[in-house]
Amino acid sequence: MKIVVKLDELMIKRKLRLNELASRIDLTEANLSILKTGKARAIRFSTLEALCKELDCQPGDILEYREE
Amino acid sequence: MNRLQSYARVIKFLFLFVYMPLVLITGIIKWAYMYIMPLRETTLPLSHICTNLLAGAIDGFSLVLLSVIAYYCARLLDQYKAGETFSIQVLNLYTKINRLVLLWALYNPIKNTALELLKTIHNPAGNRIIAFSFTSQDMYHILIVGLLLILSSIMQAACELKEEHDLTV
Repeated sequence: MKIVVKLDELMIKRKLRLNELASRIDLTEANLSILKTGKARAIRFSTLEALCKELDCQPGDILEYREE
Repeated sequence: MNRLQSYARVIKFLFLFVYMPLVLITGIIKWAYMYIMPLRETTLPLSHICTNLLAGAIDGFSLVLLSVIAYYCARLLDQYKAGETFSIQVLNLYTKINRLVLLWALYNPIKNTALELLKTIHNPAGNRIIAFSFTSQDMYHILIVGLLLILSSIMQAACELKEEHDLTV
């Protein structure tokens, strides 16, 4: 099983750059990059909330469960 | 600079300039006095010279082990000075120190037995001694190994927690 982060798809749709989104949700670029590339082990509710607010989406739009 | 870094700086200084010179220099002087000085006697038979050199090598190996442990301890303190407390390098150093201290603790009783035998090997038959002793100091060394094992497992758990914390966004 795998949780996939679909942040890059959302960013392309919204035409947002990594540094721009990072500054808007008050997160470092390095941490956002960890999340975007799927290296993150966990995500805080506060980060998820900020992302949903900024990208105007639901948590399910950002995260997806895929069976391997 | 946090407290650990300043402690590491002081401990490294004491370790490198007070403790290790005392241990190593006295060890080397004792070793040279016991195994090299007798070789100056020209009347010693070849078998005695070989035995003496073998005893010197056996005794010197524990000094070499101690030096390597000291080197890794200095590297560990360097990591702490640099602010690296829960890194994989620190964990690797703990593992290496642990293995070496275990080897050193187990080697000491074996070394004493071998030295006892070599000391009396040229005696007439019936007067040669082989004795294995496990003193309270050896028990103390094993206790240190046990404590280091606990410490390294705590460090491993801390490293895993830090990695998880670093990858939590």
